[in-house]
Amino acid sequence: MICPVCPKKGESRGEYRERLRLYLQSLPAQSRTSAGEYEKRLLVCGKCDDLINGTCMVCGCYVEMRAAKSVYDCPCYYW
Amino acid sequence: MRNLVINASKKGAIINKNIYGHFSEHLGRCIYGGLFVGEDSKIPNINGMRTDIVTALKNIAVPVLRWPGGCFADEYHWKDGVGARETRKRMVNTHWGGVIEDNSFGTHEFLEFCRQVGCEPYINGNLGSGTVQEMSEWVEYMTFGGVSPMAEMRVRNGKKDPWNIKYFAVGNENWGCGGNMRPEYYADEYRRYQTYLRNYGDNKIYKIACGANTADYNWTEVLMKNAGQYMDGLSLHYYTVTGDNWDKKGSATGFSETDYYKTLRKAYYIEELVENHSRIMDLYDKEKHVGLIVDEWGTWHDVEPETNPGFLYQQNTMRDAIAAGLTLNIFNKHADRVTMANLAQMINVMQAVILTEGEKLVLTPTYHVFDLYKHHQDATLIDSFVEAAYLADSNIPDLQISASEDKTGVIHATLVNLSATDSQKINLICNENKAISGRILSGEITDYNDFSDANKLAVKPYKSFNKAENGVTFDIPACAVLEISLS
Repeated sequence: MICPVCPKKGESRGEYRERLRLYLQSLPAQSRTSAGEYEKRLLVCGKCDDLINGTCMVCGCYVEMRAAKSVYDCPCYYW
Repeated sequence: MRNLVINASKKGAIINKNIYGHFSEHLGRCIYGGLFVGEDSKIPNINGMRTDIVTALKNIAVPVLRWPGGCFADEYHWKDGVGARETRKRMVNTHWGGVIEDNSFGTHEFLEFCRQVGCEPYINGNLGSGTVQEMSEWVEYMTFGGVSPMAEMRVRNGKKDPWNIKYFAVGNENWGCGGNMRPEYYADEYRRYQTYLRNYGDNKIYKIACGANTADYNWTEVLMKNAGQYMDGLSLHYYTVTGDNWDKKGSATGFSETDYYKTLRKAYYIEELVENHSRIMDLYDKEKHVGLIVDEWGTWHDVEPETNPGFLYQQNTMRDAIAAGLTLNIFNKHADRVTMANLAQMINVMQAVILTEGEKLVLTPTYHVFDLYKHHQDATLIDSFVEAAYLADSNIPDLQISASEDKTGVIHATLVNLSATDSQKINLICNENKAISGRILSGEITDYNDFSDANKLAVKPYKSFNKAENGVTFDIPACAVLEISLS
């Protein structure tokens, strides 16, 4: 694997928070999960064994991003 | 009308089946959650390996699989990944995504996966942070059938008979993540490490030295000059990156026609790389004993927006399929020197042939290209030519072809139409009077398969051939890969 400027290292918490903010901001309102549903989804993710450092190991997504988009489902069908 | 000529009387090299090889690294979900789900998973598996993935890979006749990296290889200590799973070391994968690596997939599991798929294992040893002893003992552990501490350890771990391991690489990208070495220094280290890769019994190791990154011709020259006589293969890594910097490589799915052609121009650059590195190798190895092993190649786009950037998960469109098709035609046509290539990477990472999400599985357009090209494996390259026009603002032919004759006399040609918009009328001229059939993959440049529409793109039979006075005529659609068989 070519390592040009090490783009593959895990993001810092600050970088991640900024990316999350921009991602949520970019989602059109009609694509967004409702606040209640979003909270419910993240509660389920928080109890899941496949969640590691904010990443779902089944789909590779940051759950705070995936859960925000209404068309997405949980890859294990928990939501 | 463009003429396409296939001349079976002019034969070239055997197309080594290993040109159709793959690469699996401990990165993102390539191994864990990809090919390996563990014996306790609800997903159907045999000894922890997903059965649907094994079936799909058998269909494209995967000949060889490289493991465990990549950059990961030069931090991998193989003894961490053998023995009872519950006692194996748990650690953070510092190279990729910072997630836990529990070593539940190690040597035995990798070789079991290869057994199920029916492919040769290609193991990449650790030179960057390992030792000569560690590398030597790995080969001893896997291949020695006599009495020795390593062979006894293997038996204790449940494998009485040794494996046959042919392909073994001495380090990975040692000019970069594998130790930031100068070529002179690596060449000396290579000579030292390879000395202790013993051939036990009938097992004969095919030794692969770390080769150049892209156009680093000096690396190839120094390695061939100082260590060429000690190697069987020399690697080359090249990725097709559309954007002009690594932070903005470009979206895998959201791209313009201009981006499409830019990607293809960059993919086509591999022909120049293969030819230039081959010329240098020819200076030191006229008989072509040393194979050029392109053991990392493929398109590299930005990760999908929601995903962990350390996982390198990207979607895969018809653009990727066309890039794969033109690249494989180039490898076929240089089969006298290119003896192995490994697409990066097999599952869920970069230009993957398979994507998974839990129990769901998607075969990408690139998978289908490997399906269309599988009959070239171990066939004899034959002369082929297609009249082509240059794509706008480039020296890239819009139609590209390679052809081979298999051991039963069947001719297979793989024709790629790079044009995003224009179909082409073809007049096939062949000096063999045989029945013709075809299979095709085509679509819009941005089309892809995903978990909600897994079969939007698939290989379909192609039957629209028409007899003509001087051969056979047919149309190839825009953005298409067509396999023509003459039997």
